[in-house]
Amino acid sequence: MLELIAEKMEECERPGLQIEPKLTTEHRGETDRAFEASTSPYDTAAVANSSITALQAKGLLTPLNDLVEKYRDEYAIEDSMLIRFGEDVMAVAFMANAQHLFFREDLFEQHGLAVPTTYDELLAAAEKLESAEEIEYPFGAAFKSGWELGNEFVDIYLARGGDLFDPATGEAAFDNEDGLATLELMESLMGHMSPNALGMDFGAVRQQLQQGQIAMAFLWGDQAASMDKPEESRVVDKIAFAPAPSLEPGGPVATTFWWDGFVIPKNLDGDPDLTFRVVMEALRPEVVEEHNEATLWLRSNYQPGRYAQAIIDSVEAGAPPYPMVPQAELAHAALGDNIGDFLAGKESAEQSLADAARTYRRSAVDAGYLQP
Amino acid sequence: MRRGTFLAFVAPSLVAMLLLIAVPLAGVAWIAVHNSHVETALAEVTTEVPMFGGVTRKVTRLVPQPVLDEAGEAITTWEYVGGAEIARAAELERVGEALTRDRGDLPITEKLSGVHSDIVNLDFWDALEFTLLYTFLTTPFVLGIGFALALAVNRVTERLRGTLVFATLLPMIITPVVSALSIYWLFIDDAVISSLLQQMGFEKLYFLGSELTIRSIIIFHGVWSATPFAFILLYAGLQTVPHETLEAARVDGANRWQATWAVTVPHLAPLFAVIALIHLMDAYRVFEPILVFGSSVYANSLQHLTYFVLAFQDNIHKAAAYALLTVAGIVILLIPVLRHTWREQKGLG
Amino acid sequence: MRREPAWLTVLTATGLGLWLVVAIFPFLWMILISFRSPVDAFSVPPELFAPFTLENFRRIWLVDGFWHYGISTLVVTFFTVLISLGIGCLAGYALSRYGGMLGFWLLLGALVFRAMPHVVLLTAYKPAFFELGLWSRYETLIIVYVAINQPFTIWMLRSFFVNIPRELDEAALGNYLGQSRHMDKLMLGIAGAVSITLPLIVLVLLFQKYLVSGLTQGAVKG
Repeated sequence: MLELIAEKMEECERPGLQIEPKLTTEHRGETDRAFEASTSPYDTAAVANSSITALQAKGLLTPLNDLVEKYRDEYAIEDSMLIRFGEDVMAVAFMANAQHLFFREDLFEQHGLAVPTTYDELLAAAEKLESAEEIEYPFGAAFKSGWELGNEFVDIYLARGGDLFDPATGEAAFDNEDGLATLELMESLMGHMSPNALGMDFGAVRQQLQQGQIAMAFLWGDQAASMDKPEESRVVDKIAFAPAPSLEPGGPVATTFWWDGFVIPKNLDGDPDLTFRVVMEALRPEVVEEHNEATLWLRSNYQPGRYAQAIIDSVEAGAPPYPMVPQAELAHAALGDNIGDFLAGKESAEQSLADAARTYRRSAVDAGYLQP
Repeated sequence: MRRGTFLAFVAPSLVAMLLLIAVPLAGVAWIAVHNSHVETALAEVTTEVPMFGGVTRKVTRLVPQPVLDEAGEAITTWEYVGGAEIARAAELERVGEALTRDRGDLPITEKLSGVHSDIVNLDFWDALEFTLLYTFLTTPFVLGIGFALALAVNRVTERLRGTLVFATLLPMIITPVVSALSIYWLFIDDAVISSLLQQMGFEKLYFLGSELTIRSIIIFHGVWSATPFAFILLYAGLQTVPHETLEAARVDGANRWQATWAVTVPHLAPLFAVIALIHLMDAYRVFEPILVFGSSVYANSLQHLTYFVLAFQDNIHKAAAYALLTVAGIVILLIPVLRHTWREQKGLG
Repeated sequence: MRREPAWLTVLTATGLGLWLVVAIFPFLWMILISFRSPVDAFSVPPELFAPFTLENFRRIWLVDGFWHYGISTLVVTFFTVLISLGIGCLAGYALSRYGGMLGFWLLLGALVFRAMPHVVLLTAYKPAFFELGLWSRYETLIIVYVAINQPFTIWMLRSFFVNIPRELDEAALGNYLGQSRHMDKLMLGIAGAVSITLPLIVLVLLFQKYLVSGLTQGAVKG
C-alpha cells in the first residue's frame, strides 16, 4: 500500500527534483533519530496513531495549517483527512485500518454456526470446530512476542474500558483486574490456536487462513483482499468478514482504529512547501479512484467494497482509535515484551503484568514522562 | 624496518580502525553514562482524528507536551548518570532481590533453581545465558565435525574434491539471514521436516513452540553454518601434516586412530586453537538466527537484545548500556587468550 | 597410500553423504519453492511437485527493482575490497618486517577490535552519522566495512608476508632495477596467490553484514 504512494510520488520526478522513497521495517527508530538530528535526511515520513505521538511530544513536527489552507483547493484536501492536536494540524492522513474477524463461511454453514459477536460466542464456536476435520485449529491470531502480542492485549484491554496508564500521573494502570481478565481470555484463545502461536506474526496467520488450516482469524482489514487471490490462497471465495468481537453483548468491540498519514519535520533542509505538494500529488482523488481496492482511503470519493465493510462496521460498533498519547506506545511495547512469559507458561499472570509495569515505568522515566 | 617507516605504512589502516572502531566504542561508553530526554509537561490537548464518511472523533486528555524555550524550540536535557543506566540494564537491583529472597525451607537444589529462574526472567541475563550456551555448545561440535569432515574429504579421490569442498562450504558462504531463513522455512508449522517426520510415523512436532526445540534448532543452525569454516582451515592444515612421521608411526605398529591422535592432532593443535578462538568471537555475536526464528521469549542473544532496543525502542542510552555490557562480556572471555599471548611474547622478547 | 579397509570407506561415504544432504537441502528447497506461487510454496503439506512459475522472479527483478540492490552490493563490495587490500597490504607488510613491540600491541588490539559485536558499533554510528548527514550513503557503508574488516585483513596479510623471505625484498627491489625474470615470477606468483584468496575471503565476509547494511537500505530507488 505504501509502495503505491511511493510510486506515485516518484512520478513527480523531473529535472531538478529528485524523489527517493525509503521503505523499511525499521522506520520507527529511523524516523525518530532523523527528526532529532540537526538536519533530517528525510523531508517527510509516514506515521500512524502510535508513532506520531512521540514525535509530537518532542516538538519535532511542523504544523501544516498554512500549507493545508494554501493547497486545499488544488488537491481537494478534505477536513476528514486532517489530524489535529488542539489547533495544529500535525498530519494529513490518507488511509484507515482496523483488525477484525475473518472466518470460513463454508465451515460455519456446515456446522450450523452463527457468526460470533462476542468473545464468549467465539470461544463456543471454537469448541465446536475442534472436531472439524478440514482444519487444524479453530482460531488464529498474531501472538508473536513483541509488538503483535502487545497489540492483541491492548485491543482486548481497552474494550474493558480500562486505561493503560493513569492520565494524571502517567503511572501504569494495566496491572489490575482488567489486565488479568485480558490475559485469561488470551490464554483461552491460545488453547484453540497452533502451539507455535507465540512465533506468528500477521503474515504467518494470514497464510494459515489462506492454506485452510484455521477457521477463524483476527487480521487487519487491508489483508482481506488477499484472501481471494488464487496465487496465494486456497480458500478463494470461502472467507467472510465480521466486525471484531466484543466482550459483552452490545459492548464496544475489542479492536482499535488506526490511521496512516504523513508528517513534515521541523528540521528538514528542503522546502516544506514542495514536500507537501509532492506527497499530496500521490493522494489525489484520481489515485483513490484508480486504486479503490488498495486500502480504506480516507477520501469521500472512496467506495467501500466488500473487503472494507467490516472495518467500517467495527468502527461504527464503537472501536476506539488507538490512543494517541506517547505513553500508550511505551505501555504497548512493555506489555508485548513481557506477557509472552505468562502465555508460554513460564510465570504467573500477575508476575508478567508486574514485569510489564516495571518495564513501562522505566521507559516512561527515561523519556521524561514520569518523574523517577 | 625502521620505526618511522613502520608507522607510515600502518597509518591508514590504524587510522581507519581507530576512527571507526575505537572512537565509536568510546562514544558508546559516553552515551551509556548519560541520560537525555525532552522536557515535557502535562497539558490538556484535544486530538481530532478522522473516521470516514466525514465524521471525526475528538478526544480530550492530558498529554505530555514539549516545554518550549524562547526560540520556540523543544529543550533536550542531558545529564550524567554514571553507572546507573548500566546497572539498570543489568537489572542488578532485581538480581540482588533474587539472591536474597527468602525461599523458606526448600532443599538447596530447589532454592538454586528458584534463584536461576528468577534471574533468567530478566532480559539481560536471559540473553547472556543463551549467548554463552550457544557459544560453548557449538564450539566442540564445530571443531569435531569440521575435523571429521576434513579427514573424510582428504580420503576422497581428487576428482570429487572440488565439488565436495564447494558444497560443504555453502552454509558458511551464504548470507546468515538467508541461511537462517532457509532452515526456518523447513521447521515452521507443517513444513518439510514436520511433514517428513509425520510420514515416518512420528507424531506432529511443533518446533517453534517450546524453548527446548527452538534453542536446539538455533544451535543446530550455529553448528551447521560454522562447521565449514573449521573444515576448510583444518583441511588446508591436513595438507601440511608430515607424511614421514605418520608413516613412521604406522610402521611402529600404531593403527589408524592412534596415528591420527599422536601425530595429526598435535601438529594441528595451534590451528584448533585459532579456529576455536575465532568461532568463540563469532558465536558470541550470534544475531541473525535469533532474528529469523522469531520468538525472543524462548531464545535471545546479547547482540539481538541490543539491536532490538536500538531499532525499536526510542532509547539510545539503554541500547548503549546493553552494548557496553556485551563488550564487557567478550573482553572477559578473551582475557585468558590475551594473557597467554602476552606471556608468550614476553618469553620470546 | 595404503589400501583402505572397507568399513572406513563406507563410514567416510555415509558421513560425507549425510553432511552434504544437511548442508545443501535447505538451499535446494528454497530454490525449489522460489519457482512457485506463495499458495504452493508454503502449502500444507509441502509437495514435491507443484505448478512452476517465474512470477516471483519477475516481481522482484522487474517490478521491485531487485537488480538495484544487486548492483549496489557489487559496487560497495568492489570498492571495499580494493581499499581494504590496499591499506591492509601496507599494514600487513610493515607488521611482518618490523620487530618492535608496537607491532605486537597493534596486532593484539586488532584482535580485540575484531571481537566487537557490530551492533555495538552501530549504536554509536547511528546518531553520529545522522548528525553528520552521512546516513544512507554508499561511501559511509564502504568506509565502515573497510574499517571493520581491517583487523582480520591485517592479520591474514601479515601471515602471508611473513612467509616471504626478507631476502626477496631486497632482491626483488634490486631486480626491479635489474633484469632477472626468476624473481619477478616468484613475486608475481606469491602476489597472485594472495590477491586471489584474500578478496575471496573478504567478499564472503562482506555478504554477511546484515546489521551494517541497514545503512544503505533504500539508498537506491525501490
